[in-house]
Amino acid sequence: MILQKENKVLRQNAKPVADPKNTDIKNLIEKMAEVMFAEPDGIGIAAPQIGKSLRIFLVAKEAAVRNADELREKIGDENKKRNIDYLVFINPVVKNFASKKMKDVEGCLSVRGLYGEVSRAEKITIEYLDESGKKRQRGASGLFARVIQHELDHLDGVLFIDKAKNLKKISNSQFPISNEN
Amino acid sequence: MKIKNLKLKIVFLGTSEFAIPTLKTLLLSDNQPILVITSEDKPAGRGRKLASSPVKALALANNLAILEPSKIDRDFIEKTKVLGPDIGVLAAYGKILPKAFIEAFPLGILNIHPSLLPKYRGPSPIQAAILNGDKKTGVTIILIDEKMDHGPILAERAINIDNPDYLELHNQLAELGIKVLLEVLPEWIQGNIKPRSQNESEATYSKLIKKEDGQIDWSRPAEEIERMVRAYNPWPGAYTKIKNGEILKIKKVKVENGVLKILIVQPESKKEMPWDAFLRGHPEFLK
Repeated sequence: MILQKENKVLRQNAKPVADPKNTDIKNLIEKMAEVMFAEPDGIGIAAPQIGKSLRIFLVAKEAAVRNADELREKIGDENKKRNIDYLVFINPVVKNFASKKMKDVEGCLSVRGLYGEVSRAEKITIEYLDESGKKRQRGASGLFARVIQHELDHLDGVLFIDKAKNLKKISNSQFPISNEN
Repeated sequence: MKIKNLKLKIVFLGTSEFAIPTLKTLLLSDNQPILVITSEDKPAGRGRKLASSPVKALALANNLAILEPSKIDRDFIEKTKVLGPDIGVLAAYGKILPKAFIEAFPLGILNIHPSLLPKYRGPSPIQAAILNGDKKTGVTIILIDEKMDHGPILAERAINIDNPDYLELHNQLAELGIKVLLEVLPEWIQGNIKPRSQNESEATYSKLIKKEDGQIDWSRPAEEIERMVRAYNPWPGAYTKIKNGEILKIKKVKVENGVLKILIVQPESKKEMPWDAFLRGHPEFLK
């Protein structure tokens, strides 16, 4: 269902959405949400990832936090039910971003099993249309800013593995043991 | 985008004392086991009362989830799968695991085995090294498969030994085991280790030790008896039968110029005592 990194659609420059209120778009958004929340760790998804080269992405509302650890607390336990609220971003345009960068580990629904460190702007402001076609502007920082940048890249045919350092089969989580010896 | 849940879901499998340092270390980590699987309570001691395994006692004291399957059947495998474990760590668990269970762990089950595999597969590798008078032994970290101590090797660490007692070597290897495991775990998780198959033609097996194995055959060479005394202390204990079939445990001996000298003994239902003291009460042993 989710296209994997070899797929050419993921490398295309996605086209702007002409009519955000169109039923097809509405259905597409619902499909994207379904796919994203089916993954225990999925917090953002872009339309090209399910084969539609259009400038739309979603962010899980629970990921609209500064701190990744805060989120891990929330979704760390797979048995816990996830809050399936999400934000819709159509035809997003970057208005501003902080020059200050931050590094953290990212993964991608289209790059199974790989995680790596990506440097991203700490803050970003984007202008976009919401699902009702209304023009909005939003500032984000921390993890929220990171997800937005990751998804924006998808709309331009860029994958996080193009930018990541220390790509590992599992995130570069040192096995944290306080070994006293 | 996906966020990686940094917590690794570890299931710990272990039963006897050898597993304790490993479980204790995992308890200190950020990756506390999500589940401890241990053997069911067994009758033990004089009264044959049901006793918990050392691992169960430690897990209970730390409020860990515990399962004690008598058999690893399909139901149990499903129960484990629901938890979505990443990896298993096994030390002295005491059961062979079916393939379907092992496959519930995406990163496999790592086993700490106290010998240099493929030497001394089976239940008594530490005793075997002492009984054979080995000058070198060690620990091996293998990936469990459905055959006993047969899986591919991830790491091996040798140590030189100089006539150790069982407990001394047991503790030394348990500590070494967790040390090597901690080195191996992150490397394995990140895919930096290529497992290597054991050389089947070099495989040897240690036996399941029974109480009767402790009975000394005095016709054996002195060195052999001396090793046996060390290997079987405290259990089953090297012993001999004296008058009326009473058991005399031989706790400590030494070999001097090829002659076995008994140093410490323990008569049935009595405390340990020097051989001299025992002889004073049993003049029949004096020729």
